[in-house]
Amino acid sequence: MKKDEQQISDLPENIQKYISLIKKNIPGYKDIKNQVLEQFVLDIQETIETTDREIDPYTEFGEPKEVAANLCQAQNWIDNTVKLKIRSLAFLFDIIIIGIIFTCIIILGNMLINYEIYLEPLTDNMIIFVKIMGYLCYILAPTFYLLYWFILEMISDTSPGKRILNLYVIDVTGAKAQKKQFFIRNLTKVLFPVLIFDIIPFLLEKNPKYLRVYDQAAKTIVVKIK
Amino acid sequence: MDLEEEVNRLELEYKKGFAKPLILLMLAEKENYSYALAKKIIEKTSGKISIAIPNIYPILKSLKKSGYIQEKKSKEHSSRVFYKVTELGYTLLDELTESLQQFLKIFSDLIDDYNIAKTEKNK
Repeated sequence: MKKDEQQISDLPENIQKYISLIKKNIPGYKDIKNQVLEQFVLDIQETIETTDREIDPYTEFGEPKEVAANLCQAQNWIDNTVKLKIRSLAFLFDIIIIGIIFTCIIILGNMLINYEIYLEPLTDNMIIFVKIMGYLCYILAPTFYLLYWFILEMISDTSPGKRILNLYVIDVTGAKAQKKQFFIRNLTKVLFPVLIFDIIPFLLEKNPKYLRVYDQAAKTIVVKIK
Repeated sequence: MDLEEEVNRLELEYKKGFAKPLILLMLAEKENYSYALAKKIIEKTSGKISIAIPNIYPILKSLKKSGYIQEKKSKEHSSRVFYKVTELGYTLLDELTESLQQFLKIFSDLIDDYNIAKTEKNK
């Protein structure tokens, strides 16, 4: 067990639960969360050591969500907004990943619909089942495309393509973005013609951090978290 | 909203405005870390002002970003991040304390005027 994890596990159970709630509201992977919490955990330890009474973390430190927002704002994340070319590279990685999975699903669908080429003759019931499964793959493929963006960012604050480059989507204040914000910013994947508006501020250089239209609407930024 | 709530809200508003100078003044007295700083604020203000520890972090970050304080690793507490006021921070404090004193004087005079007017009105 790492030192920071050991420190947390030594704390009373109610405090451990409280810290785990804070962790949920900090973007990034485990090491980032532990790094963000490092000084706060020491502060909690010292608070416990210097008092005889049982500590209620909610009254002592505040709501986990607010505490997490403060801890995130104390990082330098908002100063690390990534540039267009880095974001484009992450997008390219995502498109490659999506392309591979999308193609696999479509090929599977095709194989199931045209089962005669690949399989031995089946019973009537199996034929219906296999064909339905084949057509389902055609529905599954675009659904996967949408869920890829919406669900992955909502769960992990990043997409696999962004994750390769250590990029995360956060609120403009530096706190973890909310589900609603991820939903709004990813509408771009469906309503893509609106992206034309992105070009205008970019060309006018009025938007040096390249805040996309949907990022502006969702009040999110993409940052590099090391 | 009742009167007590309104007073609390207004108090919170102006206290928020004083948070940065307060922390800077505390650090000018002695370099410190987040927990000790929070305790010192309570101690120095006899509990009249308290800043929850998590609220101190963004203020420290903001002061650091502006170059008024800097981080320092302690030899005794290796994992603790201490903060100390920079030259720029001291220059800011010199200007700020003067302006704060003027501000407090104005308010003190206004409160005195209000109290006199109130006493005369009640006569």
